[in-house]
Amino acid sequence: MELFNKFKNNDFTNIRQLINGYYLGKYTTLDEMKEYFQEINNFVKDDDLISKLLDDKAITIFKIEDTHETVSPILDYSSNYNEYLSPILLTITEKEYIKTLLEQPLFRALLGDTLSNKLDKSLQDINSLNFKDIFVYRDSLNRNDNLEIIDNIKLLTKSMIKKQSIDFVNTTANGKYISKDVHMYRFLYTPANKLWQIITYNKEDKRVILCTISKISDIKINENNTKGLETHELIEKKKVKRPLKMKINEIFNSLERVFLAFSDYEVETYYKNNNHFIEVYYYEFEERKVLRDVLALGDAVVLEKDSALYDEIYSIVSIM
Amino acid sequence: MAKTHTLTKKNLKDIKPLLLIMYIYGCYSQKDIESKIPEMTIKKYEKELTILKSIFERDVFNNESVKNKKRPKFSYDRYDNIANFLIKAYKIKNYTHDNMRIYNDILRILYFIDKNIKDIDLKINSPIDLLADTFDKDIFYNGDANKYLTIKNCLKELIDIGFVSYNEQNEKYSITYNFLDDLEKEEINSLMQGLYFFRGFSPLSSQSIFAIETLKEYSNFKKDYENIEDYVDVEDVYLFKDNHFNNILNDNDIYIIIQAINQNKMLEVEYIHNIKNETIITINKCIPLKIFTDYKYGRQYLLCFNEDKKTPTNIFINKINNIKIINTSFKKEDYSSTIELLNKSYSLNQLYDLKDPLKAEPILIEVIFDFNENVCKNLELNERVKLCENTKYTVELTKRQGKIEDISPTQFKYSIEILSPTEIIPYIRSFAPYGNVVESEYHNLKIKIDEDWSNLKKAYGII
Repeated sequence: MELFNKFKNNDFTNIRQLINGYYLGKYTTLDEMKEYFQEINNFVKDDDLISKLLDDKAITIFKIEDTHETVSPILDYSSNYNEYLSPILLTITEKEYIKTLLEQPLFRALLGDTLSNKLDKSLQDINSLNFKDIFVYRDSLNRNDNLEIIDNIKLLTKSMIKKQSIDFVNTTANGKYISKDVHMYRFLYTPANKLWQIITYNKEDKRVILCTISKISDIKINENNTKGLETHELIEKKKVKRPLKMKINEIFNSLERVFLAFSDYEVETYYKNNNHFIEVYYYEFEERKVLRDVLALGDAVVLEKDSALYDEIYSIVSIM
Repeated sequence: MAKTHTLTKKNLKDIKPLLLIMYIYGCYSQKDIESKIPEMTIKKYEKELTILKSIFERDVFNNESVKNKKRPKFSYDRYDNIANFLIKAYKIKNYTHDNMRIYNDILRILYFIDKNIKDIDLKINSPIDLLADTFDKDIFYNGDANKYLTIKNCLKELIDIGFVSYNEQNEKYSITYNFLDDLEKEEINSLMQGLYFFRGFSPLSSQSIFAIETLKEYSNFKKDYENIEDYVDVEDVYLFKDNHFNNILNDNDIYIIIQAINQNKMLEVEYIHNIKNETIITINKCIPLKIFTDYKYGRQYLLCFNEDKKTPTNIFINKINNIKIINTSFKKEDYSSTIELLNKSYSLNQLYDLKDPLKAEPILIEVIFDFNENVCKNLELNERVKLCENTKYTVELTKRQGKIEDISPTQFKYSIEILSPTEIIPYIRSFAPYGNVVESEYHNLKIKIDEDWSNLKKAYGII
């Protein structure tokens, strides 16, 4: 079975949701149906297109009657509406995928023992995709996920969802620091070295703090402080105004390496005087990582004079 | 306005090459894209761009004119766009709407039978008859002379996808056991959260996304169905370093490779080469062994042996045009030495440059981290010690293997034994100016790295 199959196609789920929406009482007239269709459809946003799709004979699951354009189903057996729903089921591949993830201690830890064991039982007749024997990661570090931090991850997730501030102690290479009344923004996971970090925002000194979860302790959720911060907007302000501007030297696979190294940043690319250029907008708190990424690329990239980090890179190159 | 037929007639195979190029490089002109996809004509290029614009939102697909030059490119910020927008490419494949309706009706009827097994009219003695009876009553199906065939074909597809089960003994079709029905709402949320996490970096992440969508729809459905209030939405809480969305476009090929490896079956691979601006397509039969990749750049390669069973090859999965399993088996044990080699080094190309890779001994590489006054100008001793500690901490967190030894408060040594030393060059370079590789008669890393710096000095006009 192809992964790009008709049961994951927009049309299939749209029709299912239209059927279920009707029986769940989401709409009774044509106008309401259009509104509902627009709401559930995250693919098509065009009004005319929605009308066209709804007018398509394939979606004539319903009769449209009277002046109010009341919708009623063509297929009807009894008055028990709940029995007419189209069931929502996982595909075999989705089940195989879940079964495969259950072989990973981290997935099991995130789910907890009870749920993991329950799923083991439910999926016992399903094949595993056997990722562990097939995939080899060239830059993966030979270390296991630290499962001792799972309880802290769950605690921090709770504070994030409830938008409550937290206090904790952070142990760094240079000593212990107490963080008070900071807000969680998101977890940051680095798969290569299985490193869990948190990005937090301290409203007091308007600082973004990046901490390694295994190095934090004494986490306390400030239950009474429910006035959440819109951390997203605050983090956005930390994006650099002056981007990294690099000229790419086309040696070996450098073009692809450079573009892929920065593919999850906001970038702009252009071609000038037979050279490829890339501009990278990063966040202030990622500066050290970005600097190391540029250095790792060696002579594949040269910074432009008006680029961010130009002075830093220039002085490093000078003394090498 | 986007046209319905344009949107729905595309399928992933048609737009995958363009999507990959737009994601990885972006492009500047029709001429530029032509150099990467030779069969792309001006007319086709404009049409494809229009389609991409209609599928993807403006905030990720930048098609604005800059300095009179169009530079379409996918560009997103990992803090803004956590969800992999490229999944939309999976959903636009065209199917007739008629079938979509039939599948849903069959599922509904089977669901109805499951719920009302005792009340079903005894005159109708099989689910297929009941389905056929429904077909007769519904104007939508009116006149379908081949209704039994239509129903049976659709049932077969529903069995293949795993929605319907068939019991051969009593010839009974039924909805497949849905284990989600046995889960508490909190358990569905936990499962969803686990999948959200693995969505960011696991292979076949399309399946994670699809499973999340199924769970979300199921939760909404259960919520209304059982009037359960207070379903807590699982927030998008995870970010990932080096997140490469483009790999999702290879998932179909990856899934075929996984099946072939698990079943010990050979593959027939149609592969695109670009040699001197010419596109050549070759078709090879191969023995698939592993998929190797890296987190940093996200490139995925199939490690396989050619049909002659002698030459190991790496196939760049991005460049696969077509792939299928063929009915020829192989024994994994015959290739165990190659697999063993992969445990010693991840660069097969470099390993096979060695005369006898299986007998090769790992080479010791030593890197001295030195925070002396010359390198750390204007820093007091205590600041240099602090910098040394911080860097040691970073090496500890990021080193693949090897050990760290203190030399002095402002110096430490990192040693690693590796079969193919050049692999580690980018890592050492990233610690400039503090990390310097020690010269050795067993490798030429110092010369190579010094050469890079020398090239950079020229490029920056320092020498």
